[in-house]
Amino acid sequence: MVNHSLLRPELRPPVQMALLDDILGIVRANSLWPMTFGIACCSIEMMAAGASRFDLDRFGAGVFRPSPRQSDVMIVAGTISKKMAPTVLTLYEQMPAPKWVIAMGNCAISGGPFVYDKQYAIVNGTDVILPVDVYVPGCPPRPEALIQGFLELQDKLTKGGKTNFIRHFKRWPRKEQP
Amino acid sequence: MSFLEDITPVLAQRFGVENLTAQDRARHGYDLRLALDQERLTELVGLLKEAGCYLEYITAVDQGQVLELLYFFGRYDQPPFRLQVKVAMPKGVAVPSLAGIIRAADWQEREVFDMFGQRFAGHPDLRRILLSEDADFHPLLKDFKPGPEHGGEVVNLERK
Ligand code: SF4
Repeated sequence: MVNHSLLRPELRPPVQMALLDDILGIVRANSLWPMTFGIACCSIEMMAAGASRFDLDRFGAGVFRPSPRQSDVMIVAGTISKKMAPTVLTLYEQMPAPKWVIAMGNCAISGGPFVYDKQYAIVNGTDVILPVDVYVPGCPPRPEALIQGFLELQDKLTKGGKTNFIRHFKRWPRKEQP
Repeated sequence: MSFLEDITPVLAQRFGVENLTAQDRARHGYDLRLALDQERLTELVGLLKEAGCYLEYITAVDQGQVLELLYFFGRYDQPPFRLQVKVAMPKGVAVPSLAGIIRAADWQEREVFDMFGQRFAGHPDLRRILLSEDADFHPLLKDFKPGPEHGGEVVNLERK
């Protein structure tokens, strides 16, 4: 059980129902572990987002796991070719539930620049093969956009961010010095 | 004495002066072009490997009845050296595979097979590499017309 007296008053839920779900939501939202997995140019921006300048670790999402068994989030960063689609699907199925998918970039959203009449090699969007939670548009999206995608995903897990007290945490007010 | 000056007489003597053309590197990106019969390919590649050359890439050009295979060999050298080997033969004739001599040729040949349908005799594992396994077409051939039967979706990009 969580000691609610530790929460600031405005964050204390008035009626505490489905408490476990809330707690798990907060915990999951603040330790999203993405999979190390990039399939085209967008993954370069994903790497930048994970590196020190943009620092995805600030949001608890910088622990890129090299195995699907250890990860919660799949960032589909790039073009899914028809050859690659079964592999992407296998990786998704290997991830333990609960799991989420971020479609990063126009290719992963809809096929992007590769959509033209009768093209034979590209899957037109991740949602053709997988359920997608967050779409991050751009070609490629800037790392900030990916970070915002992660914040959206966190909000999705924490009732629109209402219960995500870790995000809203500000410094405890200092005692006035005499 | 550069490697180019070394190798040119050797190639001219073994494979015929008339097959060898000097090229302007600044314009074409390579120094020498050698037109070759496909039977002598392995012989040439053995020689180049002895001389310390590596395979840069293999590609092909569809010329109607004839398929031109282009092999590019380079050498870490100063000044740099690059050789184009052009093997032209009718479509459907198998070319000896280089995978036994140069390991890197394995995937390159698979790609040429994938895109042009060229077969390589003695290749250890000639499967599709870029297109899906069940594809039954070779998209870089000139007479290839993409259509719904190739799994392509018909997309209407006209604005309504
Ligand atoms: S959306 Fe643009 S940058 Fe991203 S994978 Fe596609 S082509 Fe590359």
